[in-house]
Amino acid sequence: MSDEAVPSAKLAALTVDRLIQSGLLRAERRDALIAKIAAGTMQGDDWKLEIDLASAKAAS
Amino acid sequence: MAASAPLKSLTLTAFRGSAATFTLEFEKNKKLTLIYGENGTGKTTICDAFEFLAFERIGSLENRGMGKGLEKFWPTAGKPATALAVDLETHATKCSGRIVDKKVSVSPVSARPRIELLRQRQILELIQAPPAARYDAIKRFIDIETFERSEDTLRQIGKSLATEKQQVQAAEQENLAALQGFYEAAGKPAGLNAVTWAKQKLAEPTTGLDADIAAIAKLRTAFDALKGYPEKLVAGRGAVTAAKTALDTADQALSAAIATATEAAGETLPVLEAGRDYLHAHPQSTECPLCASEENIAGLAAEIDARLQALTTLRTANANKNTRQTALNNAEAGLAQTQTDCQKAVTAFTTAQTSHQWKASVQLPAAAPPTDTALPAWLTANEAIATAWAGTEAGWRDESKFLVQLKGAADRYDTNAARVLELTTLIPKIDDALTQCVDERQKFTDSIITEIAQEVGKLYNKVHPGEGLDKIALQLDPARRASLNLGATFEGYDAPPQAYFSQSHLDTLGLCVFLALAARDRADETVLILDDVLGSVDEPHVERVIGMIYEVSAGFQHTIVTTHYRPWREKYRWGWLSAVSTRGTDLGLRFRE
Repeated sequence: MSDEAVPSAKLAALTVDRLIQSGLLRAERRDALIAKIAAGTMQGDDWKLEIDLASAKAAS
Repeated sequence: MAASAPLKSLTLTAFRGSAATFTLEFEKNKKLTLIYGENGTGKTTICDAFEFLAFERIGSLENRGMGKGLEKFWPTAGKPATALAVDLETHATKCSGRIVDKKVSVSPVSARPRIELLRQRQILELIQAPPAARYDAIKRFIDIETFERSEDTLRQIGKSLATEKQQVQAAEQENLAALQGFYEAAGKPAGLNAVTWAKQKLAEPTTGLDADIAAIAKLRTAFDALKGYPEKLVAGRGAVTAAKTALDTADQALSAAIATATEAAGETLPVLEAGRDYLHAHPQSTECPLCASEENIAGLAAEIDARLQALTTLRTANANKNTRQTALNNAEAGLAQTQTDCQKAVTAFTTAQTSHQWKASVQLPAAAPPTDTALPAWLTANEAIATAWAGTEAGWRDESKFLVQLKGAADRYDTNAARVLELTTLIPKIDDALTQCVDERQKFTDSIITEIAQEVGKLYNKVHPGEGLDKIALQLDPARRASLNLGATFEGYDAPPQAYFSQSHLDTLGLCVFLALAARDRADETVLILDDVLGSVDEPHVERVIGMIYEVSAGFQHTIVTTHYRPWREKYRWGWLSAVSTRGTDLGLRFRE
């Protein structure tokens, strides 16, 4: 299976798009976050930071 | 292998039952090749050749109780491994497989074929396999382990933040209790609570208190320094008086010694000492060593000793007077130093008193301290005031310490309260993100499994009309990860297909599951191989199975079906399979299955 066809990558793309739509992640970080989540390297602090920054952006 | 490039030929040399070189040509415009032959004519050898190139193994030899080391059976019996050759040519490229140094060598690797191979004995494996093994078959389509790893870190940070919030809330309550204690100790000022009171209290200027503490400490030190001087001054004056008395006494002794000494006694001393030394050295002298007279020589030595003794008393009295004079000088200098120091101490105290803006509650001496003998009286008069300063300073220090503690408690309360607020905002977002991740994951896997199940049902329905659509179900076991259940509706009841399906139905279902899975992964780059999988399909269903496989084959790069089942041959002969390329396997293979 090619990378883009790997189930984790497909699911990561769907999930990140949904979280961006919900204002929990920033649109400009879409591709980087999909890659990181699909690779299984998204750490807890990464999630916290991204959600924090998305919230700050939404509030500004 | 280039996607969708049509197969051209497969050539086998010394491979399994193909003793001589054998080439199977593929018709260019036909994507489905039917290989018909009686048992033992080499159909499976052709399938083995594709598997050899694709996976460097030959599955048909496995699980036959021959243990390991099956590679020795890959070449034709009696032929060396180096003679083995498998070559697959498409209209775009060519791929060759050899055995070199006991290892399979496929070249070029980029031209290696992608295959999906189902053998007759595997057909029921998916149906009858335990749920975990069934999951393995579809894992590549729903394996989201790395996504789940990221999801789990989100779950863990959510838990961690929730725990932190509990801890911070507990700390916040402790801080509030501490502030409450201070507030109550302050008499619970009306109109305020512990927090607002603390903030108000800490907002009051506090720099004056520290300056007051420093000033009163300095004043107390200066007052204590003054206390020692009256005694020191008395002692100094006493020492001067005593030294004067001693000097007078020494002076009188000196006067007496001078009176008994002859005039010019000082000048004759060296002469007398020289005469004494001579006469002691020459006791038998008969004349005076100075005037050479013999008249007074008798007793001259004794006379000289007496006169020298009188001069010694004079010298001693003089030295004593000098010593007493020095002592007097020292005593007077000491007294003067003490008086100077006292003056400095008085100045230091006066400065300490006058250089600070004292609170009205602090009592101070009415007059500056005197430097004379009135100092003791001044000290006595102000002793009570000075004693009160210690209590004042202690109170101020307590106040300062209280403010430090209050500030610490208030700061900790503010920090923890701010963190609680921050976490109260953040945690629901983390939870929301996790909920959406879990929901999306479940939808994703469910949709794939549902798609597969629908595809299986659709294919199955082509063979058994009315028995497939919406009646075949795949479901992940919610209690066990990586476990896949297979279900079917039978006479309106849900049941495992193994429970009520005939062998023929189970075979068809197994074939449909395999085809549905194979079609999901780059089918247009894949050679689909079905090795004698239709043995149990009965006559009424053959046509439908053929039709179903024919439809499915359109999506693959190429499809190869081997069978020994005569109806297939008849269907072709009578024109039913005109779109299908058929090949007999009267190939001269001497292998027996």
